[in-house]
Amino acid sequence: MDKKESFIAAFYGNCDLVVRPVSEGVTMFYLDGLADEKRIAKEILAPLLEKGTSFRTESQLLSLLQFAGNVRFCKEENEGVAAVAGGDAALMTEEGYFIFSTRKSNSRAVTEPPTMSVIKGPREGFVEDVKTNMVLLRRKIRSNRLVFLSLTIGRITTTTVVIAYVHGVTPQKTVDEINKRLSEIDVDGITDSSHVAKILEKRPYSIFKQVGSSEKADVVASKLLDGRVAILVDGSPIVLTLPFLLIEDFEDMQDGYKMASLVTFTRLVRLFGAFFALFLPAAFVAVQSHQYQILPLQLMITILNATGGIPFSPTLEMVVALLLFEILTEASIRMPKHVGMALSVVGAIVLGQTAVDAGFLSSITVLIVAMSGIGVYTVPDQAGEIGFLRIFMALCAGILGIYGLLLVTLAMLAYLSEFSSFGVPYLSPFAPIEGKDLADAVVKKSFVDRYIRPFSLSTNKIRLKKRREQ
Amino acid sequence: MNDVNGKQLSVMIFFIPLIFKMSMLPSYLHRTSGVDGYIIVGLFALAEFLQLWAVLFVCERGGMNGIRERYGNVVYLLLSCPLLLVIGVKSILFVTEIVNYLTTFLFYNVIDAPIVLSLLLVCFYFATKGARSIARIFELTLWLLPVILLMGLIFGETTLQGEYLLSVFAGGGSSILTAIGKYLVYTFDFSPLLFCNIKVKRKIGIGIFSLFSILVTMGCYMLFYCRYGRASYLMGCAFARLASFDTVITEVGSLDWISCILWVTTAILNLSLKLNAVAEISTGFRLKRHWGVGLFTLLLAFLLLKVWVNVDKAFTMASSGIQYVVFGIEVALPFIMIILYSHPQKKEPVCAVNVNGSPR
Amino acid sequence: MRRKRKWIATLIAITLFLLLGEFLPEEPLRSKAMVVGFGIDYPKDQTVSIHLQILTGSGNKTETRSNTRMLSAEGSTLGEAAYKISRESGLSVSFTHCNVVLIGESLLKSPVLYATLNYLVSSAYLSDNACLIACQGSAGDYLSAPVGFGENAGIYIREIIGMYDRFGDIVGTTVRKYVVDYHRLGQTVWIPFMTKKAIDPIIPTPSSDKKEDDYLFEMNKVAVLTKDRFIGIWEENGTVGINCLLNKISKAQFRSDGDHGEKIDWYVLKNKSDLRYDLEKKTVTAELKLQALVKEIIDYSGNSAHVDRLTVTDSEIARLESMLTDLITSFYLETQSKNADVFGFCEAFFDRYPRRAKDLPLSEIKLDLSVKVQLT
Repeated sequence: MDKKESFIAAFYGNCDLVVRPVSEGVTMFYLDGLADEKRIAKEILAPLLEKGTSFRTESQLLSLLQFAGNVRFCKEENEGVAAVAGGDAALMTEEGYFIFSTRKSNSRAVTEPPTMSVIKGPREGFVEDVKTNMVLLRRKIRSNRLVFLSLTIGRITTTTVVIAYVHGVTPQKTVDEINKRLSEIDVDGITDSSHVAKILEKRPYSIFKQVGSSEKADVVASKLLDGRVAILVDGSPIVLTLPFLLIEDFEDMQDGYKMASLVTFTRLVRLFGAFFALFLPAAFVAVQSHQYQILPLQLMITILNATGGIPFSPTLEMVVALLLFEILTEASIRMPKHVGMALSVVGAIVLGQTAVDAGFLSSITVLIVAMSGIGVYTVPDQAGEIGFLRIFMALCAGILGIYGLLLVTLAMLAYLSEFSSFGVPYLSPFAPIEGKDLADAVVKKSFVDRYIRPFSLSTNKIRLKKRREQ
Repeated sequence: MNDVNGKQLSVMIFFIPLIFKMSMLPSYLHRTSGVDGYIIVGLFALAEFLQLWAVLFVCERGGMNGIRERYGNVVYLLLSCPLLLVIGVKSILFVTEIVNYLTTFLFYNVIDAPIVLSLLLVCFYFATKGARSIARIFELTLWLLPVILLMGLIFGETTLQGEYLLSVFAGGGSSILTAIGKYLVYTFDFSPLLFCNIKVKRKIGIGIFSLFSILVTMGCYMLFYCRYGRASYLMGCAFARLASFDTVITEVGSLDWISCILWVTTAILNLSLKLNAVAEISTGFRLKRHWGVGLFTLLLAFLLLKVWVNVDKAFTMASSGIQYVVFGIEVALPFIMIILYSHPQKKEPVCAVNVNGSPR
Repeated sequence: MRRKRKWIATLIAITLFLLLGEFLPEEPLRSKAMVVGFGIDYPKDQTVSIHLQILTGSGNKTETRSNTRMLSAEGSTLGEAAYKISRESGLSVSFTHCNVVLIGESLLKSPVLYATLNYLVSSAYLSDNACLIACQGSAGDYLSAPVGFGENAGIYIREIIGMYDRFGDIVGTTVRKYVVDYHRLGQTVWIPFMTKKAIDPIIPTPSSDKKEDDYLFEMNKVAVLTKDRFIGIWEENGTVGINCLLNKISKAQFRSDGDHGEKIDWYVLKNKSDLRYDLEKKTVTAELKLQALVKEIIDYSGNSAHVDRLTVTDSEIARLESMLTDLITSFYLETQSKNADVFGFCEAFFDRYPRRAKDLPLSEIKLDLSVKVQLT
């Protein structure tokens, strides 16, 4: 089997492999659709046909091809095969393979991501093409200190994964650790950044999110400037950020563009929203089942009137209501958009009201579940965790009341307090208390007063040199 | 796993001496010493902080792990095994106090078994997580203090009889000896810190928090005695009694649940710290931490459900002659360790303190 | 393998936790007899009679008011009687929201009041801050009485105490205060004493039938007790004495006579008493400072000149001061003669002079009271 046939055989009879003989012993290979055929024809094939194929080295070849871009030479066939599979074009000669970067960019346009729309602020969202994403980041941080390290993960998919960080700001050991963890992975393939996230998570079965993500270039750029590392995966518009702290989900991408005092208020609202979402159903079960002495008299009378005649125990009633809410949420997400909207309206109004009228659920339970449900979406990135935990907590509160709720909360905090994301405690800056970071966790400091970077994340702390007194 | 930084230590030394002194002890002390109780508890706390400094001194040199590195496992076990008795006695007393608190204020007419078992289950979990996790939860608990103060300011309307505190030492101070004779077991709670890797940058902070803790302990006693006067000896679970907002039920409900949560949380953490020490001791027996603490917790559960089933029985046991043994071990241990550390080193110690920089 | 073990351990822990629920059965709110008013009588020797005013749901889901029902039972202990009620009603009695404890006259005048209340005091079933009130006749009659205002007697009493405890002539007290005072050196306690009076239920219309009378409760009296002894019931001098001298109130209303026999109504804005204890003289020097304004003047002789004025004279102020001094002093002397240390002077002397004043008898303690009224 000669060299050319061997190369073709390596593609197992693939129908989209284009084999284009150029001259005796010189053949061009590329994949139809993946490589840019026009460029290949115009920049490579046309000059070669015109000027002949009397070249032996890359420089000789480049002197023939004035407009061809990046060219590299490899001797091994498997390297050439991998390059062609990745969208490049390979020019086979007797000496080896000249690889041209001819990958066609089929990426969609840079638009505002649907999951992170903003009222004020940049609207550029990442796309599926890693190079475009790198450019988007580069346009935000025009510095040689923004470093991109490239890796290939996946024996079959050979997906490009890029680690981005700001040199001198991000601790080098964090970069090295991430690099090491990714390099050690020997998997057949990854198709999305969430697979990379799973690789980087220390506790893969935990319900808690351990890797940050964003679809917006400005958000990732600011996280890079805080001292985090970003991971871009080819084929995914979701960029991962590490280390990840729990408090990050209580921050919004637009926080940095609004007035600091208002942002402080909205952050408190988010915290209270999440707190109520998590604890309100459980607390209601606990006070109904065990610790009714907590209730003020008037509220107790209202509950007494509302819960009379309900066939379930308080715990069962609440769990049923919460499960119904979860079913509604899941159904409205999966339904086609317009049907989903109708379904949620039907669910919220008709189902709730009918359940109360039929004496199936008490009106207060429906109210609590609705309030808790709204609270869940003050922190949308944690909606899954809160949704699960509030059912579990309601069960525990039904068993041991407020005491059970306290025990479960403490156990959960113990679990989370042990968590760390690349050396940074998950509950930082609250546990351990990082005084300097605390000031920008719940209370939002103004842009001009944020003199230092997050203390727990970065090596170079100084963010803003003291501004001149006005 | 057992790394504790200066801030965390400050929070811990604020809570550790306070918590179990604010349950049954105020009424016990009042029964034997009357209003002198608030001075006596101040003296107790002061003595306890003297122990803390000895413990810190030892911890800076490597703590119990340092002893193991220097003198081997046998010496480590000889020193740490007596602590099992200390922790056992105190755990029995403190668990019954927590259960008493819960069954007085949170549950009515229930058997203790589910409370004891669930409590020990969570303490076991905390102990397996190590002192670092416990210290971090202590930090999170701190946020409840301003909430309580705020609620107290909004709803509190308490009336206090300040003059009741004036008649201290009417009996000439003999009540101090009586109190020492009975309630010694409530002091010297810092021994479990010997197993922690403590890194303190500024000792002045520890001093300030120690003083603050003493003052707050005394202040709580003063408030309690001002509120209940001569009837103080009848009122168990002082913290819950003290914390109630003293306002009519129509406004906020009869149970001051935030204070309840604070007390129960810190009590659990305090107990978990003791069990964490058990976990460390068990490594000397070539047992894994969780096996060691698991066996100890099971034994504790058995004793609490079968032998010392209520706070009175536990107190009778803990305030018997065994309290002097407990006291002796708690006082002697840090000093023996200081002596051992002052001897020249035979081999290069592997100091567990601050090997990876400041613990977090 | 390690992960598998972790999963098993977690599952065991969660199962154990869920199994604990078997030991602590749920007791939903609707299975509770929530007591909002609690009356105790002592009908015969070694038997107590309890009257519980229990909340029941209104049956209307959107209603924020409730129905109440009165249940009574007798027993040799409060617990036994409460259990009878639980058994009969099928609901478990709960005192957590009971803020009114009503003591019938029979129990008030018996020597077992403290012994009876001890159950409530030492347990945490009842709030420390529950109001304690004594009443004329049976406590059950008061709790079951239809009241002119408020949803029911329990809530009506609580509203009056809540609103007027710091105002005027009601000397509200709580279970906690009762226990604390009981353990003072003098072991003297005071409890507001309540009477009732009938009022017409509604303004009758020609078509409406005459209904049963409604009632209003008056709480301007005070009952005083020492350790195991009922001392007596006082009216204005008792309530004014306790309220003013012990700084219990912030506002009050008094009436005195003017220079020409007119009636002057005073509104007290601030009340502050300062007590000093002199062991050598065995005297308590009390300085009572009141800040007041004149609210109303009526002259029944019809002389408008006595009414049309902007201020009062010094002698009228002195008359008010003297009136208050007499009221309070007379109350003190009357209680002192019965060896009831209602102001806690024995305890106060002991607190200041613990060694010398331990056995100071109340009969030797003099009260030197001066009242200063400042007009605003």
